[in-house]
Amino acid sequence: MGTGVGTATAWAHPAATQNGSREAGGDSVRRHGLVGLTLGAVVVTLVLPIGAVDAAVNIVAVGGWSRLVNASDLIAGAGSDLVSVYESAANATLITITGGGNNTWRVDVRRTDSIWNGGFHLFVRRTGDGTGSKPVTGGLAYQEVTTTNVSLFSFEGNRSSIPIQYKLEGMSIAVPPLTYSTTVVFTVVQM
Amino acid sequence: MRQAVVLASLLALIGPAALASNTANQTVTFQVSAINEVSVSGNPATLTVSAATAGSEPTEVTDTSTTYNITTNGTNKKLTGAIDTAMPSNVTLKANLAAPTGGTSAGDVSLSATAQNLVTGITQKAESAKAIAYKLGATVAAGVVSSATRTVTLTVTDG
Repeated sequence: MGTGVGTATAWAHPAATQNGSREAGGDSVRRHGLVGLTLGAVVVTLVLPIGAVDAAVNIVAVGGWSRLVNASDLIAGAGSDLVSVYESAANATLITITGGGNNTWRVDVRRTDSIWNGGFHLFVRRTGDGTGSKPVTGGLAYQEVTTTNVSLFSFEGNRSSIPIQYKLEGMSIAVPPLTYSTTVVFTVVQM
Repeated sequence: MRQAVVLASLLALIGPAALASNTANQTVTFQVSAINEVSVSGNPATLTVSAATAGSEPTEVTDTSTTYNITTNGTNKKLTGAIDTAMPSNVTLKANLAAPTGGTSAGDVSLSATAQNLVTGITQKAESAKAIAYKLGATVAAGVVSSATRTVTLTVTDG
């Protein structure tokens, strides 16, 4: 996990914040100097990260994948099973990351199930680089999406419209008719 | 004073770690419809009752040249059969379907215009080439019956 964005901002304004605290509680500081210093230090670290949010990296994902499975997906009509593997469009999701500065970032992926089938295996990959001045590495091979974060790809700076493709394995006639849904969570973290 | 320094350091580390990540969500949805499909391999040969043992009713004839295929993702389904028009008096058309794994065949079932259970207890199966036997019988009371055709409709439905 990165510390670059927070650390730089955290030490940029301590004097101003400490001054503000002392003005607000001036009499108390004079009567109870040690207590005042303690509160002042706490306020510094609580307030400064709030200011740093605006400068933090931001990731936006547009799209998603929805698929209807019915009798037309039987391998060979009545008597046969369902096709087991399904793929989305190559650009089912477009990911854009801004506010990356000159830092190196990694995009992790996991899923949070709403209603899901234990036999399903969901995979994700990037099918292109999107646009940006610096390279993207990794993520071109399908990566299984589980309920814990796994690394998908990394890049430097900012990147827009990185195309993402999904694949589902494990469909069969043993999957009861129902609507299954999971949320795929893309997380950008500083390397 | 030492207490203040410790607090400040801990919070400074926690803050940047949280700020260095951000998330975006996408939804993946699969809607699986109810699937209940059945098909047959073709039409049976013409069934003709034309012989009898002296002293007995005419001999029943059987055709086993066809099969059926079934796929269902439902539970406790059944396969019913019906003919489009009732059989002539004293003439009987029976069907006997082999059951998919886990199901139960009803054995020989006389078909009528009302759907009859042929196989029950079918749950999430995809099986093909299951045997069908058609049997045509008649009693002497039927007399001579002109050739006719019946359409047998097999249906997967709730058990």
